[in-house]
Amino acid sequence: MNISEALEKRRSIRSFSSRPVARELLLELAQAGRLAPSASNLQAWHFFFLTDPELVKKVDLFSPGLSGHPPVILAICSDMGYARVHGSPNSERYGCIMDAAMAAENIMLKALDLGLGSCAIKSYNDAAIRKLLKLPEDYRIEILISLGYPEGEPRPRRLRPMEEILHFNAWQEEA
Amino acid sequence: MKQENYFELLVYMITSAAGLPGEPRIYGPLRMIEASERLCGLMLEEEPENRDLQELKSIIEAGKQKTTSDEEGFYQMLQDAAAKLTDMV
Repeated sequence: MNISEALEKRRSIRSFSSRPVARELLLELAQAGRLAPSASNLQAWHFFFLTDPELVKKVDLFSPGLSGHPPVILAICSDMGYARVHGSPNSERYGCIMDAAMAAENIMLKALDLGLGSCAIKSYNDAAIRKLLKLPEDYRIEILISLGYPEGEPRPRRLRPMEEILHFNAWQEEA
Repeated sequence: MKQENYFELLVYMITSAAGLPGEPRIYGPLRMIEASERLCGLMLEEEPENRDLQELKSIIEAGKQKTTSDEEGFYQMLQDAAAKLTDMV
């Protein structure tokens, strides 16, 4: 699948089959994630692939925004201790979340290429997920991604009209 | 088993309440109708043949898909679900 095709085809998948996802595929997703750009090349990210059905069920339970009972959940976290030492105040403010978002897009496009569906969410209970994942104090959860083989059709796509969001050069008030 | 299902609903409602202050406004009605759908499912376990409950669940299921693509359709579903309840009182 070429990049343009993948960009058109990627959708947020909210319904999954129970078919397990092979570990080799998850390693490919991790590789896609770590190839993403990183501000100041900091790479403070950590990729937690949750595959234990009991843990997946619990994280699912504490994530109201997560739909469709995915067999795998990926938690992309940042090591803020590492970021403070090797990065800058901006790493904490926005750099790490930007890195995680760029890694997430790489991972979701790669997932599509591997026949997997994905959906990125922020609607989870941070305190509960931290506890379930036994995260060190300095780790920050940036994003969760549900992963699995899609079932059914995704929701219709809604895009804002191009003319509302596209600009060339300086901003101009509408005539 | 039943207790576990109620517990899952309880977790959903509390984590939703905890997260909603930072969420888009439409997520408030979404989380409430999602919780209602889950409650409907629990009621259907006790009364699997209840046509009204089945229909209510179908109305919610179809409409909640519209949250991010068709806001008007989503809000219409909330009205339709409320109207459906009049068949059940």
